[in-house]
Amino acid sequence: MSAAISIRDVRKSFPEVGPVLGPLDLEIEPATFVSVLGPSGCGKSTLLRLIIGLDTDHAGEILFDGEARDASVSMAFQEPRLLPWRSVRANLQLVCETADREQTIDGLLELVGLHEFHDALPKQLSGGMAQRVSLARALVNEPEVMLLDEPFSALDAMTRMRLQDALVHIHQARPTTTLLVTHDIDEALVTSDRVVVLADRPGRVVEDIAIAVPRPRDRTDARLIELKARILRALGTVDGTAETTPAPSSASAEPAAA
Amino acid sequence: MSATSSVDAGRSTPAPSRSTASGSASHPSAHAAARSSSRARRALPLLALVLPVLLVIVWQLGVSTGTFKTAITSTPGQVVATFFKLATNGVLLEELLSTVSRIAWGFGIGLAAGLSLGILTGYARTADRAIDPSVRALNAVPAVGWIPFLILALGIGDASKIALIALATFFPIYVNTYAGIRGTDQKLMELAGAYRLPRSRIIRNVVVPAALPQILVGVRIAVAISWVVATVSEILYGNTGLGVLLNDGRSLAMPDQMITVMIVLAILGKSSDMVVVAIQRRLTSWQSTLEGMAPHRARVVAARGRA
Repeated sequence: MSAAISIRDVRKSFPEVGPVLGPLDLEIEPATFVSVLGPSGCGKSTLLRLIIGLDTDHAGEILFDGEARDASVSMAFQEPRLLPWRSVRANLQLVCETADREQTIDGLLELVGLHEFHDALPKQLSGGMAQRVSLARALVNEPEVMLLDEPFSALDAMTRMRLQDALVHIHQARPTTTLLVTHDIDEALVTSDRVVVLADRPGRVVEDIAIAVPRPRDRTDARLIELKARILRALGTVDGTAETTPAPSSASAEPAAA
Repeated sequence: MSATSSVDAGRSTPAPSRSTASGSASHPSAHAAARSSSRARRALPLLALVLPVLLVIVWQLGVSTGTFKTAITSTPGQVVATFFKLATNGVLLEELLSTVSRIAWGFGIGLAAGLSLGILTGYARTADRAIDPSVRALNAVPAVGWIPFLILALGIGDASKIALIALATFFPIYVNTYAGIRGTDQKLMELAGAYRLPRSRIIRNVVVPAALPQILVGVRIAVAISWVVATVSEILYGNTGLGVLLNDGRSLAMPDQMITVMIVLAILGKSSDMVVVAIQRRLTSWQSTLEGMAPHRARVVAARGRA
């Protein structure tokens, strides 16, 4: 069961660097997939840490379904963070709290295409496979909210595209409120219902774009290219340049936008 | 689009068990290389015997030429004869069991105390502040420095010797367990926090396994120390044990007995170390380290290094 997230007047400062986030207001409907884009250091990852409760020292409020309650939130990090001494299955078992544990894990490994590797140790997996285990782990307790902190940023362009497609498939199979922090505009466009662009530090919403293109999406779809131009303009506005577009991405073959 | 077709299942990394089998089976030269590599691997342990054999040769030559005094060094033949005599009349086994039983008790206590206190102070900040400074201060007292106190407190029987071994093994295990726990990757702790794992599960499944390589370093040091301390305590104030047999060899001017016991201690020390190393390899096989690197790969890497 997915939850709605309400982020109201949230502000976060660090003693060494001052304010990094906010004031930030954001309403996210249940089961929607929202991507957050913005320059480095604008507080995107901090926002996820505040939502999951890894950092509780902030102003403003974060509500789930309108209440200040403990929601079931899971998170996939930039690196897979698998426990290297546990097999793929054991990594999932560690966090799994469902009654039919083994069945749930089998289903998820099937979903991410790694059933065959359930006994493998993390060191025997490629980067893409390890990140898929991390995605499976994030889904294992059927969370109300799933947070993804640049989960594919360390992967090569081809693997990244495949995992973006996998992510879309997973979200369609199990609609969960998902918040994806990314530097990759194409990734945001292919996967999301909405793209939120944050300003440079301290991060505030400067653009909130709905992506009304049906999934699965063609990366060369003219509507996506148009939206990409709009996002680039927003990022250019906040960053002073259009160079915030990430390093090699899935859309590198697309015509240059804006 | 199915998830399986859309992702990179098995494309970049084949199933772990299959890759080596299919990779080396196809080429004759690969067969030859594998055979030669396997022969080299089998011969490798024999390399460890070269130095002892050389020492025995030098020893025999020294005795034969009169360079070494037999009153001090005996001869290799006499040592072998004494070994069989002590082994067959049951003396060696009796003294050995006496020493081993003290080590087993002392090491067991040291291990349990070192592990539990190391985990407690390594994980809990308050316990760290309250306990660790005192433990570190006591660590500065050499193991043999405890002997007078232990004799006064527990007498000259087994209890004081076991306590000495326990103390001597406690410190390396404690220090390494503490360091291993404190060295747990922050990212894994954050992961545990993100998934709200209960504290007991974090300690059991995240912190202790992460610290295990370092803990086992402490255990290995402690095993070596336990032999040293047991022998020293037996030499200084023992009635039974290999240390006593060793000391009798000195006081009764029987160098063959002395050297026999020294060789037995060396073999036992090495054997116990090998057991710990085997456990270490088994429990930390998940690590990607030089230790676990295939010999041929390690050779290729070493060969690429500049002189």
